[in-house]
Amino acid sequence: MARQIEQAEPTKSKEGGKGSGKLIVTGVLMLPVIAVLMPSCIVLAINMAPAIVAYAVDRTREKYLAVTVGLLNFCGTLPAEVALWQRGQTYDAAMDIASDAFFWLVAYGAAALGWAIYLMIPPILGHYYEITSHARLQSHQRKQQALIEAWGEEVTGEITEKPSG
Amino acid sequence: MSEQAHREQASAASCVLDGRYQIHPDKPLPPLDAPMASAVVATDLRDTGREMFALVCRSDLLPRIDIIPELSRLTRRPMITPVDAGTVDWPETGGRRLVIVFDRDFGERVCESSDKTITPVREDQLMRMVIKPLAPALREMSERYIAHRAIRADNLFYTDASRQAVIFGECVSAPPGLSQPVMYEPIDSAMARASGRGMGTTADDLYSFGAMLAFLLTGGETVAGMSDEEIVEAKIVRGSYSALIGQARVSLSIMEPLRGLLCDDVKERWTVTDVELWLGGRKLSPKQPMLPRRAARAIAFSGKEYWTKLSLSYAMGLRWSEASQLVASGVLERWVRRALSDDDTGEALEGVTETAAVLSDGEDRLTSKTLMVIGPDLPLRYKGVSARIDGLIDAFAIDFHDQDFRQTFLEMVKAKLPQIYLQSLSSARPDQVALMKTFDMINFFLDRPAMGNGLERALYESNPAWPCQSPLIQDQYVYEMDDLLPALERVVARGDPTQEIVDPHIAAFCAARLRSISERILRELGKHDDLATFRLGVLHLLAEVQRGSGTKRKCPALCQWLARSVQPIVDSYHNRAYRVRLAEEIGHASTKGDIHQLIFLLDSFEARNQDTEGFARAKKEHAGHARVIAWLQGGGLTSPENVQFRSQQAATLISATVSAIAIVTLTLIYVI
Repeated sequence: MARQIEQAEPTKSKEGGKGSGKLIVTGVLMLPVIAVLMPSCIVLAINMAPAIVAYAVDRTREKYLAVTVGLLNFCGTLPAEVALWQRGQTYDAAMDIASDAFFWLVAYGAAALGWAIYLMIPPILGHYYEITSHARLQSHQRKQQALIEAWGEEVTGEITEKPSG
Repeated sequence: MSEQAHREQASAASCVLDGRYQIHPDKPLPPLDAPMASAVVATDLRDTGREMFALVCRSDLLPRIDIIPELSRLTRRPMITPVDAGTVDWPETGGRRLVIVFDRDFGERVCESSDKTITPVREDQLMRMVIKPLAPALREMSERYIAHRAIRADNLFYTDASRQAVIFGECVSAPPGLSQPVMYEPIDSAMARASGRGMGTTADDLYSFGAMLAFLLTGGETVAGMSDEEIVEAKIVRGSYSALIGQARVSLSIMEPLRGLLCDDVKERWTVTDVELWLGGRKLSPKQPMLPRRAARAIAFSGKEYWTKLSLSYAMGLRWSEASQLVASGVLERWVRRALSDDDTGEALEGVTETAAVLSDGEDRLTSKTLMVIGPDLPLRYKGVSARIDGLIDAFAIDFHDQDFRQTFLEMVKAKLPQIYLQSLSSARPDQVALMKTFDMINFFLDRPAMGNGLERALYESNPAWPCQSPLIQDQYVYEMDDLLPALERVVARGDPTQEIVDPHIAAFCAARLRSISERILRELGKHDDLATFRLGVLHLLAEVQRGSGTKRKCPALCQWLARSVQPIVDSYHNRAYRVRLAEEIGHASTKGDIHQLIFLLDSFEARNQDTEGFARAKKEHAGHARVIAWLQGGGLTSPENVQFRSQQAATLISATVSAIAIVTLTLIYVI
């Protein structure tokens, strides 16, 4: 057992190292892009603040909340980014756009829609499952009854079968 | 015609043997009764003037039907010979009885009973009326290897009203020797129980003939008032001649055949040729009695003193517990060595005792083996049973319903006493190997107590013509396979039997008579706890009987009863719809009276296979549904965890979809 643990620990650190290595490689590769698109990144970072918050508060492994909010938040950021690109992608333009309430409204409104979807779906789906579950239960029970009628109670396995001749 | 007349006519019609001999149960003939059969008037329908009578046999015994065809040819001999035999419907009981038909062309019985005394017959009368007329019958039977075994004074009839000659009475209505009083039997046969005297030989007949002559000469005075035990003791101690003639005056001429016929040594006994030579005028000096060797001093046993091995052996056989004590005491061996100076027997006794110690024989087995040593060639004795070795098999059948005898017989066979007895005989019997095999076979079946084997199978295998003793059909007198199904048909037609239609007796009877009854069928019949398999076994057995008996006769009533009884087999199919269809088809097929049709429907391999496979599939399917239901009822869909998880997935999906639409829309707006 001890040996297995000893073997497992280096594997874990190796995997961790591999993951951080990937991140570093990705970061290094992205650096030129960030350097070139710095104004766009500034606008994006400001408008995507709800998604970052959602990512931070989402404790699930799959990060459904972050994805739900993030996707819509990203769509809401697009008008600001397009406007920036139309103005030549300068730091001034980026500051103008970042201080424009319209773009804030669009980006944050889209993020709010994501939050709303995430919060409203469970009661709706819960009710739907209630109805479906009842229907499926009845269907299976009917099929069971049909089998009992055709083959007798023995088919349930609860009654000992009569020995066959 | 009145109803009474109709009933009489119907009754009369049913009591006809072979379509020719009318039996009249309502017209008894007590003077012609036999010890084991009652006589009634019979009529030849082709010759109504012919006077006839019939003996109605007991349903638990087997008359000597095997010798009837042979005896029927002896019509000119001085003997009442059977004309025909067979079973007929018996209106009194509603069953069937075995009847034997005889011509009634003879006079009265010579004496009513051997227990009563009669007026002695003069020697010249005896010669003229009895010996001369009867000698040819003895010759004829001897040549045909038939032993009469019912030669006695009360079974002797005058030929006609003139009373000038006599004829032998019938000998077929009961097993051989069963009705013989002890005085007419040789010592070894007299020591045996009546049912265990065996087939016997001509030598036994000649002894009985001599005893009968002695009875007629003395009028029965010599043995009057004596018990069977006293008669046998007298024969052992004084010899049969002295015991039966006593103080009666007998001329030398008649003494010669009497001494010859009553000789206790069977090798020295007169033969039929000796009787014929004597009748032809040869005169020899009478044989002297050959009495057993007398001891120098007597041995005390059961309060009496015995001087010979033979008399002691007989007494020990009668008083078993005391005999066991005597054997265990060792006194017997010392007496044999010292008082009888018989070292051979002494050594044999010592050997038996030593072997018993090695084999851990029980005291009863040891006593029986001891009796074989001190009384070689006497009947096999064990506890209260005493029988000639071949007669033991007959006794097994005749006394089958005697619980005590049956138990003792089982112990004897289990202890292999018959085999030990056969090996201990002073001279080999011609049927020794056959008897060994028979007893081994009985042992074999006793070790297999299941239905179709066991005690009943041993009975029918060892007594190949014995009628079936099943309580269900005992009154039907079934001794041939052809009669079994009609008998069952009648039983069912009378009303629903309250018991199974096949019981251990019927199963064993069929297995012994029909070799086509397979082990598989017997295994099915052995499963009492599984009614469906048992009933299927019943069907298989009766179907084999129907096929094997060769009768084309159908049995609709039996089939309909079987159809009702096979419900457990129908119920053994799982598919309800098939059950209903099967029950309908069985009901239809049963009216045809063919048991094979029922088998065909009920024991179809294909149908059974389909049903089994279908049931297995259905069971699996049902279990699958049960699992889903349990999952659903356990909140498989509606549990908060599942709803939350699915909602998160759904929200992500919706978000992705809306986002995709928005991106496409924005792209279009900016591009256009």
